Amino acid sequence: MKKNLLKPQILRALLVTATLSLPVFSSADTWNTWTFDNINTSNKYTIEPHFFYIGKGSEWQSIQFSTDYSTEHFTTLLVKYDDKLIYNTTLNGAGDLSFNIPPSQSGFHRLDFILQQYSPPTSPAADRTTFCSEDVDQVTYLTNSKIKYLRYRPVYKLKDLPDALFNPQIVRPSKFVGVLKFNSSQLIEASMLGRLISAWSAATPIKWYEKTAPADQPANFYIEIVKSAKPMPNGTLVQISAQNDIPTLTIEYDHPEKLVSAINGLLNSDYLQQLDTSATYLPNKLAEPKWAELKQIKTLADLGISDFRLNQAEKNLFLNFPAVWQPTDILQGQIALRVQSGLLEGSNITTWIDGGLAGSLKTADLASDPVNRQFNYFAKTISDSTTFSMKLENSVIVNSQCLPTAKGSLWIDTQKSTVKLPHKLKNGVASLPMSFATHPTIAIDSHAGSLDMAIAISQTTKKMLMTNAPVPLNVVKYDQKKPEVLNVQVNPSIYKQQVLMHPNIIYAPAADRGFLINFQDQRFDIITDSVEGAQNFSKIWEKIQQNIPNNASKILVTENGQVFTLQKIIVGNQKAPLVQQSSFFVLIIIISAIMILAILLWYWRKRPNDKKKAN
Amino acid sequence: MIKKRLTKKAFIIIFTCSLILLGGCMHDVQADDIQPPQIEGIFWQPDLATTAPRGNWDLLGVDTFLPQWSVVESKSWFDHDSHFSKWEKNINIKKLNQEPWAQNIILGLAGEYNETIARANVLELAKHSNKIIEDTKTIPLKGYYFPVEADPTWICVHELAKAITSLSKPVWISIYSAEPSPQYLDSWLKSWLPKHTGVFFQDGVGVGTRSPQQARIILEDLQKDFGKDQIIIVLEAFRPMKNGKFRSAYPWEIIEQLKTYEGQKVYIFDGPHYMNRWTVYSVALWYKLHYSSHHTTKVT
Repeated sequence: MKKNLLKPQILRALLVTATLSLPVFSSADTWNTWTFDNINTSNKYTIEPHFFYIGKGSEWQSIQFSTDYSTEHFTTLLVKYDDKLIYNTTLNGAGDLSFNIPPSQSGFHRLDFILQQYSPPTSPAADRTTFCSEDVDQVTYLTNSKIKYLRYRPVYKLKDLPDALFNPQIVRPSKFVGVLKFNSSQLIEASMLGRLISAWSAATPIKWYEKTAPADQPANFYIEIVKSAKPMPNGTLVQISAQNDIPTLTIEYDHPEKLVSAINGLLNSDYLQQLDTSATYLPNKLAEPKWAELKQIKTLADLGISDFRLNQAEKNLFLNFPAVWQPTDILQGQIALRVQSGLLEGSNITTWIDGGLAGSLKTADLASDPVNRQFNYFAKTISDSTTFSMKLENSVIVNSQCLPTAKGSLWIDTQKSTVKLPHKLKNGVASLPMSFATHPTIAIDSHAGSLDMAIAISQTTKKMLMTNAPVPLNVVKYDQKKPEVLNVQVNPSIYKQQVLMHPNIIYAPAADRGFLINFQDQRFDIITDSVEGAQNFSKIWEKIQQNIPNNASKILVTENGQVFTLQKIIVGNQKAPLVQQSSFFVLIIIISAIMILAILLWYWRKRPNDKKKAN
Repeated sequence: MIKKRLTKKAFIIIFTCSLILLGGCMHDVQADDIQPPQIEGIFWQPDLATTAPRGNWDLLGVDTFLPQWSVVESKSWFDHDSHFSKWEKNINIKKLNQEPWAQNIILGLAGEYNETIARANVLELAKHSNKIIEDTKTIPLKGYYFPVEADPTWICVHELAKAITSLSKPVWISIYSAEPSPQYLDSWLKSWLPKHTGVFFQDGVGVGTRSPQQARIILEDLQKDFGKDQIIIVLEAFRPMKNGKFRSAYPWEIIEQLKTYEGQKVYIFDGPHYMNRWTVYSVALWYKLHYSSHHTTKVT
């Protein structure tokens, strides 16, 4: 018999190796939109930058900027793209304008809009000869600004994750739709998807769906985990490609430990950078990445605020402290800044917190040294909320001519600017994110939607409390016998029964597609009635954090985000049970009393007998 | 002669003092329009130590016996032919029926010693319970009791409702609350309790949750919604000790509970463990003295 030297297994291995060595080419071109904030100015001279980001490994072609404008009088507009002048025009009245932007490679790009307003001859401002930045009596608006572009990604590579799936910086009108394909009976797959997602952030929120996207919301990308029926001796196969123009990341594994190892590799940015291929087998013992930890909030930078230059204007900041904090004292801290010397009388900087004057520093007549300066600020009252609005107002007077060079003379250093909000941790339902941060395990039931909810909990907690690293999410099966600290269930029967418990607060039909959170014995149960309810949870959970009252032990959130407190934890000195706890001691007292009485009686009886005897 | 008289006198004085002291403990204040509590039944939580149960609870007026489980951990406490293997000690229902305090039997169905396990397996226990109902078709019973206890913290209580509905006979169940004055107990019960299900409300006095007076208020609230026949109070005849264990309640503690539950049907939890003969004698004596002037009409 003739031996077949090229066995089918070898043939298959060779074929796979050959396939993996080839990158996946794509010629997919997709029209996309990036929206920008409006520009409105009443200054004579304004520079407003817009930024956009092209994902790693991608190119943009046929980029066109368009906007609607409205101006009272003549305004000249110059547009610089990455410091090169690409467009100029004069605006008058209302209309729209558009111009092309050259094809661009991956990375951040900057568009500077330079607006110069000219007053009509009849205006008093027309006589001014300086470029002072004080208000003039006319305005210019640029609204509905956006760029349209064709995204072109010649090759899908693993090292470009997550940009190869979605642009993490894009600001666009509609949310991304991500579809997770996995076997719901293999919860390790759900855990690993959760970990992977937790490492990625996106400026435009992502709506996650399990298995398939809804008919009216086409998927933007897929992430799929498949368990191989056959052993995979080479490791776990990870590949990225585009199927019908939709990017898809596929992970095929044979053992759970190997899957964990592959995800570790994808989460480790140094390791990921080396995967300059569309598909590869990842080895079985990749080390864990550095996981997210509880973040310290001590400076303005910790609150996500970057250093900024303060123009002759005001700057509004929102200081968002974790919603799980309950302030116990006023917000205070120090603003650290660098300011030029030689400013004239009247130059100063003031800060306001929630509308109240919080601190100020005179910047006039300062010596050239030291360069670093700071001043203290204090809020006027103890706030019940953990969100504060901080306003910094700067007035710079360099000389009587008020030259434009006066701009930029003050720079706020957010790394050195401190914030201190004395607080205690909230109790009850509001403490859920803190519980997750310290113990990132969530039990989910087998119904569709529960993983979405677990992911939403993870993402919200990370944003609020944790550092910018992946979360070691662990998704386990819900077990009544051994419930976890966090338990998610999509179960209409439980939800209905729980809603019916509170007919005095909840009109049952209004609770449809909402969700309910119960805190009992240091355990959280998050329950909704449907997949729509789960989607609502994912959409609303982050937004309602500030609205969850302290010490609420049970809340219901309707589909439009209204929060109802159903039960509260009784705080303070609870009365001891009123039960009269008679003790054995009482019995002893009674018996003793009877015995004393008996002795007395015996003595009383004995005395006459003694007398008799004596007689 | 004088000596004899003096001894007799001393005995009478001692006895009177004791009665006064006992009476003081009883807070024995009488009123004319009082309906005495009707102690109808006694629970028994079967275990090897108290099998077969013995007692004199009939002195209190008890004629209904409620063994909490007939099957625990898939093993039967009764010796009749059944689908289940048996514990080392067994009892015979017919023999039990001959006891004056067990003229009627409400038979506990399948349960588990551990509440968490019982709740997790409630549907499975309902299946076992249906087998027990089938096995006891020929035995005259007053009713059945499904021994998975419910309280408002049980998120999956709807599964108990499913289990009860799947049973081939109407049953009694029991509920409790760890809050002294639970706000939503009535609406909670309404939200899931299947029709024709009787409810024993554990008074929570024995575990130290609430006073008998608080228990009475809750009971009356529940009875307003469900009717007096459907909600019956369970008197916990035990008290917590410092080491986390429980002792039998003293007679005067039980008397205080009974006085508060005047006009109500009462089941005592439980007989063999916490109601020994001397406690029964004391409570029965008080009952007779206290309510002798009243017509002991049965509470309906």
